[in-house]
Parts: sequence; structure tokens; C-alpha cells
Amino acid sequence: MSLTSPLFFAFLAGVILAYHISDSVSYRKLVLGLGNGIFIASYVTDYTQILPLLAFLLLGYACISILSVWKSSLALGFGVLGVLACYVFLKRFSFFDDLGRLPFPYLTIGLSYILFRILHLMVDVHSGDLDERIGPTAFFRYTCNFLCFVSGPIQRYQDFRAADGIAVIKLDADKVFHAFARVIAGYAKFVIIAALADYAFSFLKPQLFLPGDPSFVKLCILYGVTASLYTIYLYYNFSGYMDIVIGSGVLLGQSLPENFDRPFSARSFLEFWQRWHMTLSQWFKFYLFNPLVMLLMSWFPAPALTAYLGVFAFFVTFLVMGIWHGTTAVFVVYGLLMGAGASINKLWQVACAQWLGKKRYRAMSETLGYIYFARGITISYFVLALTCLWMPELSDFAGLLTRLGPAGISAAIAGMTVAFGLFWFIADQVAPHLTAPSFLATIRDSLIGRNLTLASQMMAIVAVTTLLHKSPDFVYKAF
Amino acid sequence: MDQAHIYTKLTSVFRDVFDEDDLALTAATTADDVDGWDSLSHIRLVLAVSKSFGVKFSASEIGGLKNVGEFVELIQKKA
Repeated sequence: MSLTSPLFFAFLAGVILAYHISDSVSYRKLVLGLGNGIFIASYVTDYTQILPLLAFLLLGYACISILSVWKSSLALGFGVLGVLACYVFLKRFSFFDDLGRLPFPYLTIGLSYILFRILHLMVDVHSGDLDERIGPTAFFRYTCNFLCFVSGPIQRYQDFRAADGIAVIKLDADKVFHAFARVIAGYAKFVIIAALADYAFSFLKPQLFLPGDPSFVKLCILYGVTASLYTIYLYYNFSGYMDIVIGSGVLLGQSLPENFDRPFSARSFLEFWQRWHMTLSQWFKFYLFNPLVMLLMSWFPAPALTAYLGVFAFFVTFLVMGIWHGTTAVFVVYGLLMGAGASINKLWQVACAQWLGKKRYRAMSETLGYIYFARGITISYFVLALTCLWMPELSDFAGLLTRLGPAGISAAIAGMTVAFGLFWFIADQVAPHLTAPSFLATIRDSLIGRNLTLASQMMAIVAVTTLLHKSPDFVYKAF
Repeated sequence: MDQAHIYTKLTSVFRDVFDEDDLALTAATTADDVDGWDSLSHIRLVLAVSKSFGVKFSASEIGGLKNVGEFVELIQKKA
């Protein structure tokens, strides 16, 4: 069931209406459970397609049940390895092709995010953070929550439980309006901005590989624009999707966590990852990066080694995150590029603090030139690394880099740094002075103005969808 | 262990980890208020606090701390 299909609207409206018919908690839990079942069933045409997912869920539930009784580190280790092995097998990672595969087509959508939830439950049950027995229906409602099934946000069980089918949901006109406004804004991002960026990206991408010998400048500009368009597409597609599910969640009493916090205003690569796909970053931080750094620091306790241990942990964390994104070798490159970005950033901070001293480094990082250069280089590096996502075959990725050459890549990064830095300078320094007359803001915030804004967004969505003649798909579904 | 005692002991650990002799802590102190309190030094801090107070923290407790006040409450609960 695509999020942009009329079927999804009907389904969502049906679930919300059914949910609010009764205040009974057990009834509401039943509605949510059935909603999840119907949503997942919409992706399959034969019951066999669902069997691997069911087996994966059963394995996860068995591990959690065992750990809730037997809080052994050995059981946790075996459980994590078993669940990971099952995930790798079902996702058909190209590195493990020789292991064989199931001889029938089956559903793999949602598997990655179910994995995160199961691992989180296992670790938290083992550590005692979750000391209650989780029933099978609660486990199903949590791991297969239809709002987060396709691509998150990755909500913690402790937060999900607090809103799972609760009897009292305080919905008033203002809250409902804001929920609808968020959903519509999400669709506007998804269907207008992301779709137009994708349209332009799909037009420009083939030109990067046209036979012949394009001029150096043309190739660099073409690459920079194409890669930037993909990044714009990815961000608006993904964050629009999040607006839709978070807004819908409000109507079902769920407070889903935010996944984006203006990532392109980050002043460093490390800050960028605190603002981009936040629930995934936090998950990796909680369950991989932090434990790994703790282990390394207990082995090598000298404070002078902190940054270097961090560099190693960044590489490991981003490598795993990269491999999780896809099943081919180019995603290893993606992980290494992300790890390199984080490590260079950390080493730069350490070196600057040593050379200049903490106070002078802080003063330097507050100068306008530094801020906009840092923002520009952060975005352009991310844009470069994302190339792996639109070049899923290593040979194509290597071919593009060879065509650009070191000079072309450097020139493209420099050009994007200037362009993005300049954009943010204008956005921050000039745009705030271009304020509209106050009466326009009053009209905009009035009841009629708010509804007109919503209606015009909906009209724009319909117009663009009609013009593009296609319903955009959710990009992160593939990961 | 009472909160005042925890604050005194915790301040000493913070000063040692961040190498700042005049560091003062309040419940509202966050990572933004302390020079060098990033994800790496946070782990070093947690290890030092674990050692000093003789307590262990879980993955979500380590990652979920928002300010010193929450840290103190957590230590009080565990100590």
C-alpha cells in the first residue's frame, strides 16, 4: 500500500475512525493490531510471501522471552547473532550469495526496522531497562506498527508502550488541525519538492554517462547539480514521509519521535548526524558506538587516546550503518566515506583545540566565514558520499569517479561548498530582513488563512501529481 | 546517598575528566555548557562516574541523559 495511493487514505481514515469508536483499551489495541495486519497484507499476493517475516518475528520474540527469564550475556550474544544471521539471509546480501536463498519470492519490506526494534528489546531486556514481560500481541503492535513499518522512525518500546491503545486521547480542533497540516505539509514535500527534484535528477543522471568527451567544467557542474538534486530528493522524500506518519500518529494517540532537525543547517559533519535520520543515528549510538567506545576505553584508558579510539569507533559504526543501507559492495564504500567524514571532523576539532587553544578555537568557529564554510563543506561532503545510493553497482560508481578524476571531484566539492555556503549566508543574513507586512501574517494565521493555506497546498499536490503523471514512491523503502 | 554528596563527588569527577578546575555543576548543566563534552568524552565521563560511585549504566541510560540533574537522579537510584 503506497502512502500516496487513495487506498492508503481510505485505510488510514478507517483505522482512525475505528480507533475512536470506543475508549476501551483492549478494543483500541485490537484495532491497531488489525491495522498492522491489513497494512502488511496489502504488500503480499500469496500467504507464502509472509512466512519468512513471521519466522523472523517468532525468532525475535523467542529470544526476548528467553532473555526476560535468563538474563545471561551468553544468551544475548547467541540471540543477537541468530537474529542478525536470519536478517542477512532474508535480505539476500550479495556477499553471502553462496549461502543460498529461499526458493520463492517473499516480503522483505520492513525487515530492517523490525531488526532494530528486536535488537533494542533484547539489549534492554537483558540490561534490566525493560523488566516487564512483553506479550505477543504487544510485540506485534510494536515491531509492526504500520505507521513506522516501512521506514521508521525507530521508536523505543518504552515510549511506544506509554501510548499503546490508551483510553484517553485529548484531541481538540487545534490539535487535529495541526496534525492534518503536518500530514499535508508532508505530502507537499513528498509529492511536489521531492518529485520535482527526482524528475530533474532522472533527466540529468544519464548525461553523466553520455559517450564523448564533455568539457571539464561542464562535467563538474553536471555532477554537482545531479548529486545535489538527489540529496534534495532524498531529504524531502524522507522527511515528507516522516511528517505524514508523525501527523497521522497524533490522530491515533501516538507521539512518534522526530527524525530530522534541519540537518542542512549543521556546522559540522558530526552535528549533521545528530540532525539527520535521528532515530537511526541514536540507535547506532546507543547500541553500537557507545558500547564499543566503552570497551576500547577500558582496554586503553589513557585520555590522550580518546580521539583515536573515537576515530576507530566511527569507522566501525558507519561501516555497519553503510552495509545496512544496501546489499552490494558500494554500500561498504558509503560506510567508509561516512566514517572518514566523521573521523576527519573529530581529528580537525582535536587539532584546532590543540593548536589554537579551546577559547580561540571557539572564537574562530563563531566567525561568519568559518560558519558558512563549515556548513558548505559539510553538505557537499554528504552529497558526494550519497552518490553511493544512486550508483548501487560498484563498477558504475568507480566509472563515474574515474571520469571525474581527482581534479573533477575536488572541483565539484569546492563548487558545492561555495554554492551551499552562499545559499545559507543569504538565507540567514538577508532573508530575515525581507519580512512581510504584519497584516499579511495576521491573515495567514487566521482561521480562514490557515485553511486556505492547507487547501492551496492540496491543490498544488494534485496539480503537480497530474503534471508528472506518476505517483512518487518512498525512497527509503529500498534500504 | 544524598544529592549534595553526589554533586560534590560528581563535580570532582567532571573537573578531572574535562580538566577544568573551576567547573561548577547545577541540575540544568548540559553538554553545551561544558567545553569538550562530546559523545566521546561522555563515555569517558560515564566510565569515571561508574568507577567513582561503584555503579553500572545500561546502553539507554548512557545515551538518554539530558542534563546533570538526570545524571544525579540516576546515580542516586543506583547507588
